[in-house]
Amino acid sequence: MANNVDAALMEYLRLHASFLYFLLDKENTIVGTNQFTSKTIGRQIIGATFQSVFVDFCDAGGISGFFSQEKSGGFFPLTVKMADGLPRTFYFMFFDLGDVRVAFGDQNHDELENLHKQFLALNSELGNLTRELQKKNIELESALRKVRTLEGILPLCANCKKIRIEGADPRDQSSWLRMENYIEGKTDAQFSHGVCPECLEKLYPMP
Amino acid sequence: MISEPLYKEYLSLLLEGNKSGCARIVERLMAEKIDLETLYLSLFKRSLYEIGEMWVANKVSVATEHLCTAITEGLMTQAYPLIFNQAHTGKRAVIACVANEYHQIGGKMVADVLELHGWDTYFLGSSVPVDGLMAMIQEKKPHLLCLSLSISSNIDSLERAIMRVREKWPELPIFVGGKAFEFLAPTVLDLHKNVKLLGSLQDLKFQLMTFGEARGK
Repeated sequence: MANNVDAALMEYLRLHASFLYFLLDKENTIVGTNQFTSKTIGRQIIGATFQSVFVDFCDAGGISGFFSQEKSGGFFPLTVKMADGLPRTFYFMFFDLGDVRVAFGDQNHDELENLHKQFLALNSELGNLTRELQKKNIELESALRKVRTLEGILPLCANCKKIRIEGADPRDQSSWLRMENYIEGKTDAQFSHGVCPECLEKLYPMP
Repeated sequence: MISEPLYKEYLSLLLEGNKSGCARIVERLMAEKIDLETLYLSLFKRSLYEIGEMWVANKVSVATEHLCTAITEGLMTQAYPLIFNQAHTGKRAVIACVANEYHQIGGKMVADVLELHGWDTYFLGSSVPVDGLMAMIQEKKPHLLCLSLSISSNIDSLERAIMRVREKWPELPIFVGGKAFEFLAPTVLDLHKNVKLLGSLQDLKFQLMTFGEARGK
């Protein structure tokens, strides 16, 4: 009974479970893996060194350090380049079994779940911001359509201050408009009339 | 207006996580001048409800459901030029999902339909705490408050929000709606004046038509 359970468990772990499994010889050459590892890494790794599988492997302490007493029992993050080219971090536990060594690597599911939640929240927030931005943008475009401005060089009569219509014949008197007519025609501004103090004195001199 | 084969194609693309494929279908429908309610109800809402039912039936994972929701929310932006180009009526609405309610698409659709009818909307998003909601009502002085509820177990949050709002603004019309009301007996709504349950976006449209008359404006 127990043997059957162990056999079923081993078959499940070998064929279906989503964790990395490396069986290493004493020189840390990979001599066996499970199906998930082969699929995840997507290249031939049997015969390769354990270190060569990872993009962030730092051998400063020597690979044997992983199997030493102080490191065993803890999880150590190592990043593998996946078959799709993207890096993915797995948390490893190492066991020295004498003739062979084994390494098991799993993803941190709490970390993934947290990332999942954060990305969803971020996506919703960005969606809401996009909505606001689009709304403001359309309001701004609408406001801009209403704004009419004057720009460029306006030809002005040096004496009477009439402005010539753009492109019109300067010798034709009808090409020249009073300034207020010109501005009212080109913008949304309107004029009202009054008399400034200097002109008031000229027009209506005090006796 | 949306044929069954086109809907099936869209649903299949959505379940695959094929955003650009879905976007092409939305683009095509927009080019054919589909109206917003049809797009929202017959494509976005129908597909999300169907995926929600697939999740309940253990046919898809929650991750797939989340991805489909995120894609749909992205696709809704394609309709914005149509939504925000309407003449304004001067009416304002605040729309929010109550505290702990993280399903915001329904509320956003309500906000978009209101915009389409010339309302100025303030969409506060998911899981809005009551204090935040109260502050926004104080600041924007809306003519209407809409509260969305997708998960029936969040009914207490909705009830608390309604009670707090009612204490300060007894006359403010409140619309509530969402998938939760397919399963809930909304007894809380009977306790308060001027709280209406919206069965659908079409119901919202109908309520908006009568809104001015009902308010004596």
